[in-house]
Amino acid sequence: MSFKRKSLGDNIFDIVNTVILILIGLSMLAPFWHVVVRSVLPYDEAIKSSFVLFPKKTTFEAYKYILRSERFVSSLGISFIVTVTGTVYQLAMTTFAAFALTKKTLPGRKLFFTMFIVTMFFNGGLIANYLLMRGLKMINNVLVLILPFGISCYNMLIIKSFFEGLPSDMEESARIDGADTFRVFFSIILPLSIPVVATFALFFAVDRWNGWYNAMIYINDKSKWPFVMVLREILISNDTESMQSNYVNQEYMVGDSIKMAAVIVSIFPVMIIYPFIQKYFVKGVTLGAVKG
Amino acid sequence: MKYLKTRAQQGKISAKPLGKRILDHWQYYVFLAPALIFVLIFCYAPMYGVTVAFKNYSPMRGITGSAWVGFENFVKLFNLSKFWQVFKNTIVLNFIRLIFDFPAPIILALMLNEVRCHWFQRITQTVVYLPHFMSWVVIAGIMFNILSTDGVINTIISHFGGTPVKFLANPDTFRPLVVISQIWKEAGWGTIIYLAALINISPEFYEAAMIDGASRIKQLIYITIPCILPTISIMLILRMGQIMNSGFDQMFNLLNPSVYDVGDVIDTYVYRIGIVDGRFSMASAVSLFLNIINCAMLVAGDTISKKISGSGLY
Repeated sequence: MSFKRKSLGDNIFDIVNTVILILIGLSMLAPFWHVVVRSVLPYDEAIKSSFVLFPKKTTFEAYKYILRSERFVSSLGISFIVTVTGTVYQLAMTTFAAFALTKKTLPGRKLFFTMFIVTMFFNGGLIANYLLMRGLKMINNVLVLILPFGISCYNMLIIKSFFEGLPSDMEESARIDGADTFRVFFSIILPLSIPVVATFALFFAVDRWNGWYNAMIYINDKSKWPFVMVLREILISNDTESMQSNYVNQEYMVGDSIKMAAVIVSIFPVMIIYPFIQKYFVKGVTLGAVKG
Repeated sequence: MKYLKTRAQQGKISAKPLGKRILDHWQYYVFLAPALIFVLIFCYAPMYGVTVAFKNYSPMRGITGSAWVGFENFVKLFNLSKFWQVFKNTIVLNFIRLIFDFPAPIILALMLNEVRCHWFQRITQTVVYLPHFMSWVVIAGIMFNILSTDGVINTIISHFGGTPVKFLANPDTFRPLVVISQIWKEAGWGTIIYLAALINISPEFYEAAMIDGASRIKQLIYITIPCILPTISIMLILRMGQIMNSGFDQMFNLLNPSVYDVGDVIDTYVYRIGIVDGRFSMASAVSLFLNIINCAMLVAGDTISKKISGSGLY
């Protein structure tokens, strides 16, 4: 900045702003720290106080319990499969449609476009969807966690506007060399769009990993639940049946540390991927905002 | 050639017959087909399913076989005092949210924008985006833990001689907690769109203001905020279209019977009468009523914005 001299008022403004932002940041991190501490706190420490900033002793019993429990492990497996297949499926559906709609000369383009836009404003609601899923024999079927999440129109429009912003000369020269549309998409458009595709891959993966709504509505068979539903059951319904009950009754606080350890297990994968992809996702989100 | 192509696009002349043009683009249709099939099955079929709101749905007969009853379900619904209570809860909660939740990301974005130290800005952004990636199941679970009678907050309260409060089971503290937790989770994420608008403000405005000796606060009020007003108004219109949605994920996880009087909203009500009680037609009528209000609000917001600022959604 060319104006070096700062007034007293501006200095105070800077300091106050920074202090408030630090406090906001700490308030975002504090609950997570609390969860981490509770998950590793041994029973005898945990019953002394519910407010522990730094644990003196730590134990990983709760994590060992989760990784030994068949219920947790099998639901983690389901969540993993749903996340991977669901993300690939949603990415394919969304990028394919976005790519097709970038072709301005496509007959019927306007009609298709309208068909997608309408879905942003109207939806059948819970009951109509429930009846549909029942009609499709998807009740108690793990596919209900994947198939209904094919296209979100809003995301599709953002990806489309990104595709439209790509330089067209590469496509043109590929066409002259005899590349067909499939070739153009997979060898030119897709490789050029890695930042955006990576961003949406993260969004979709997080949604599938965290998604519990469809599981709650459509899946009654608990052995087919994803991890987050099992987590929901022990955290919110407070149903300790999912843990071996004698284990919980003997040492109630151990049950508490299992809950917190389960929370950590649930957010761990997201935390791992998130920093690597952060620089991309701001671009991914704002693209839609700037281009409209 | 280029000239011909653009004329063809404008539809003034057709270079080739329609059948030939469709054939020429067959590969694009292959790309589009899965999405179209998806939308027809998962978006348009449920829209047809909404007709059960006008029928007396019986599971034996299915959607098409059930008898039409016209607006009977709606009449029954509007006579339910429970419905109006839930309706009121929804309006009140969403109004409070509009006042507190909507400005939160704007304020946070303005604060982040004022930070001159680059690394501090980046770290703060990383931290405030983080809660967005947590599910409401996790956040509600953490809230139950921290706010329980023997949780951290109550331990601190008793330490200073106060009486413990059952925060999430108390109608007085439930609403504020819903609003605060929503801000905590989404305000950071919401800043992204405003930060993008802030970056696009021309530095010349600030340079001119600095020559005139305007303080940072004056620059904020007279340059920064007016420059992002269009973005704010678009976000507000979009928000209007959500006025009847209270976020099922959040409400359902935080809701407990002790706070039904203030916390039971339309989303959770539809779930209870529809999926739990199996009154499909009734629940469908509520959903449809909701959707109509949302759309009307969206259009109204858009019209008002066009009148006032000349810019709307389309």
